[in-house]
Amino acid sequence: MRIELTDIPRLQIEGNVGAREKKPAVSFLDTLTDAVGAANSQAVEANRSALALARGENGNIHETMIAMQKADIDIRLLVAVTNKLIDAYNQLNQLR
Amino acid sequence: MDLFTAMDISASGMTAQRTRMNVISSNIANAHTTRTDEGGPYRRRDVIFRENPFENQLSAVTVEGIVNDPTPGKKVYDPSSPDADDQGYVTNPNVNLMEEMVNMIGATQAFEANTTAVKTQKDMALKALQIGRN
Repeated sequence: MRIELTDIPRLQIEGNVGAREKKPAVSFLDTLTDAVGAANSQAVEANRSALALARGENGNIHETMIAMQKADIDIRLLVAVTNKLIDAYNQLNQLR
Repeated sequence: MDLFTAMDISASGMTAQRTRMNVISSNIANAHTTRTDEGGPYRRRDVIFRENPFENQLSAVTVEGIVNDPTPGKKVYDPSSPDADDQGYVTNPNVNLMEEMVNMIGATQAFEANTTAVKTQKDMALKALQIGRN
């Protein structure tokens, strides 16, 4: 009898936790999409800057180089996050 | 983005030093110019920097303006020159090549300091990305 009494509130708490964790799962996908978009826009900006430099429209070598470095760091960050995500997926996959 | 704030500030420093270098080049190129649109010899120019509030009490740098150096130029006796005055003296630009060379070294080193700052920022970001890598 005692066991049943203690188990019921615990189940309710777990149900609440599960409901709370559903929303962040969607927003993480959004965050990842945003990060991909940001990294891509940095890369596009670096590309545009390099083209402008090559055409002689923009003589700022350092700004082009810095734009390229920014794109590089952003893409590396994105790859690190993606690799982590794939690692997590693989870990869950091996759960048997 | 916060990650790249320092890089943007360093970029402003490099732009400022590049402008300074342009002004020094102008001074060196015109070290013997005796005719200008305003009349008289070329006047040495100097660049004025100003802090440019960035964010969170940080400041980038911006070029406030380029000003003329008012010191008088050296007079050289050369009566055959078409720019000579009544006494046969030609006023040369007030550019001192030694001084310009020293300023040039200063500009180069300041530029290098900014590139080193950018490189360090990148190294730090990459080191941060290595956290947890096995």
